[in-house]
Amino acid sequence: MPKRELSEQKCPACGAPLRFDPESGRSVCDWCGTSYEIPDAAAEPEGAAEGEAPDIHSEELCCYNCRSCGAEIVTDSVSASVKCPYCGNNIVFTEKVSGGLRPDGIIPFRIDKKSLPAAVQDFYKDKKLLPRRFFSESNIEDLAGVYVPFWLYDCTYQGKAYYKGFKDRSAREGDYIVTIRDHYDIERDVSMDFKDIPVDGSGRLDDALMDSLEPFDLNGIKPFNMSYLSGFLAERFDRDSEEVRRRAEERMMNSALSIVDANSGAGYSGISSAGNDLQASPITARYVLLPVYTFNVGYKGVKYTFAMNGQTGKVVGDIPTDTGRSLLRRWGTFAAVFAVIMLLVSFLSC
Amino acid sequence: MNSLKKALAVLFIAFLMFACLPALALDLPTDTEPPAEEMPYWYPENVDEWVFTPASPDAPRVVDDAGILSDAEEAMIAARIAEVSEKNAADIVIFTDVSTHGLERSVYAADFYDFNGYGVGPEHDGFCLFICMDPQSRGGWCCVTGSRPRSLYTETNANDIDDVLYSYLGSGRYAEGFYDWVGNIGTLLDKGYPFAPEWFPSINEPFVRTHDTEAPRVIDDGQVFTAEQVAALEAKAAEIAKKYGADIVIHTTSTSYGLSRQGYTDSFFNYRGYGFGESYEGAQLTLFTGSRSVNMYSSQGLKDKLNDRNTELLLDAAADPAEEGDMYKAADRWLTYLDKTLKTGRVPRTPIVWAIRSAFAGIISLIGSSVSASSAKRSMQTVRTAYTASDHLVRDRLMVGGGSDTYTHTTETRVYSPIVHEREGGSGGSGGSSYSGGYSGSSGTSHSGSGRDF
Repeated sequence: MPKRELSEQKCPACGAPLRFDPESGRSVCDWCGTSYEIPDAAAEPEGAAEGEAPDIHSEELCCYNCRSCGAEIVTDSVSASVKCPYCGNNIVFTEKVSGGLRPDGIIPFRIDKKSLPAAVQDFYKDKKLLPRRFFSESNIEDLAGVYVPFWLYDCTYQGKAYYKGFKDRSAREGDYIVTIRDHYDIERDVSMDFKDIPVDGSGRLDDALMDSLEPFDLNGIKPFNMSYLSGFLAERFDRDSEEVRRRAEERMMNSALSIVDANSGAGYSGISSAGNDLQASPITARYVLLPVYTFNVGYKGVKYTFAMNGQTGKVVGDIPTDTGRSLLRRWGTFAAVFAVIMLLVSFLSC
Repeated sequence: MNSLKKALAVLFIAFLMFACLPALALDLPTDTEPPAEEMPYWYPENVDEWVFTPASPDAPRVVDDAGILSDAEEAMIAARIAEVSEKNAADIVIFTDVSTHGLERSVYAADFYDFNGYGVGPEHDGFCLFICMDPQSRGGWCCVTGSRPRSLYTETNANDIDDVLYSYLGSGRYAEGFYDWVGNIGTLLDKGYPFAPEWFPSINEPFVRTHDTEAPRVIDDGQVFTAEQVAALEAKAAEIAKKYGADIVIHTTSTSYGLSRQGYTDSFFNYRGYGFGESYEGAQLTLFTGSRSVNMYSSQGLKDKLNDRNTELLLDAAADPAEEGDMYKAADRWLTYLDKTLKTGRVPRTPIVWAIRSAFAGIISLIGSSVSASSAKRSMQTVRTAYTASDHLVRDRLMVGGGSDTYTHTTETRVYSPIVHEREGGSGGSGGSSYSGGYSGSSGTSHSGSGRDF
């Protein structure tokens, strides 16, 4: 098991570990209280393996020595930032965020983990079928702030879409309604751009869970700096842009077709698709780290997985349905509507 | 010299044309002049010089030139005509022939009536039924003269009368058909409707409304009730009548005598001495056994309780059993509901109404609860795979347009959707007659009429 290089963010004033503070957006020292601006332009970290082609699928365990306490830290191949389990030092594994693995940008955490319970309670509030006890008895477990690797895809669709269309006009002739239908072959020129479609590059996180965290405010992307990672976990991608590109393409094509359909039938009584030759320009992707809190909620011995957008505070997750409340709602609504209709009908028929 | 010859030739041709034109015009048949073929014995030699001469009272009113009636039948019909004509001050003539001598049936009938001097009074009031037995064109026409007969012989009445007449003629029962027709014309002249019942008042005399306290209140002309049922209904009607001071009548009949069903119901109550007090308060249910339908009359004083809505509901209550043929149940239910309606102003609902309402409310409620439940369930599902990328579309660079629209072909579909013209009234005639509200015969006299082939 090879020993690897790592980076630590130390307070220049007292030498204690620094951590990134989401509320102020600065690096802070919890020991002496000093805080530091994080520069936009960051230098390539020490020990960067320039030009190296990393094996992203390697499952080899990595071994590091904590610079503060000297303890030996063993991590999996995708973890890029951890906390030393012995001294609590914030450690960034430089080789996993440099060279070919260096992100093109990062959205720093903006929501502090202290505000997470309140956000979760808010999330529960409009869930009418949530068991009452889940609301009061559930416990947040395994909370972790993670920078998740995402690919952002850009693409242009161009080409032609073809339709069969018709225009109707009707008139009465004696006892007959006569409908004259003129048929047309329709051809439409199409050009549309999609920008920054996010697809997560982590094989460990559920794709649907990550999709559900959208939207991220992508104007908040900053140049990558390891200082943002201090105090949070981070992962490098283990699925490259080619592997997950198909998901982005499907999303773009679905939207492209529905947009073209909706804009092609003006002036016609009806149209139906007759195919298209839309071509995607070469898709470009950039690699970014996006802030996500992941946590589990335990209830009656079952763990429910949740995630929260670390930038916007949006919470998503699977939650159980209370069968009793579901039935009560269904039949309660039935009874209420039934009573109102019967009253209304009786009143109107007087 | 040549030009002089040409001018002479043109003048000669013009002379020939002017000389021959009147002769050509004489050969053209017109609507009002008879064709060149020989005309019947009664036709005037010179129509232009013809002057109306009233027919003598003894002149025959049945002229059977087609020979389809026996002497006895002619005599029987003539006697009936004499009776009806005298009572109603209108001439009635029946004329048969084997040809119309090239004229329209309507004109031929009018000419026969006019040229033979038929008619009563200054407007020559009367009816002439002409039957043409030409095998190539067998049919009839009833010619009506005088403003009073013409006002009564409306298109509806004409169709109703012709429905009956031509059903006889079509089966070769000429004498029966003529005899019945004369009676119907008599009823039309007397009561304004060709099939009005005996009790219907004459339009020629002022009607005086009376109270007939002794008349039965359950009149089962349709013969659908047993004696026990009549007694039960009478007792129930009498009880309600006593409780609310309103005359309550149940009437069954197989026909509305050519009147609309509602008109018949109103007439029955008003003309037969029903109704309590000076304003003749009361209500009546008429059960038409032929059509299994119901109609209802209610007097003005009961309208606050028996308003349009309640009347409709009461009829609905009686209609269901009537449609199934259970007239007693229909009458009994109507009386029960009428009692409660006069008491509370509200019509009780039948079980079927409640069932329909409940089913309707149940379906809507089920849809509502399903929508509510699925909406709540959807709010529980916060984890969803993204399938679109519309939020990432660069809107200001979207372009869908241009291209081309090429016409290929045209198709045509025709959907049969007839315009329904409903006929007012309830006589249910076939409406197969052609009807004319005004036309002239060769003499220039105005007539109305109707006719059809058979």
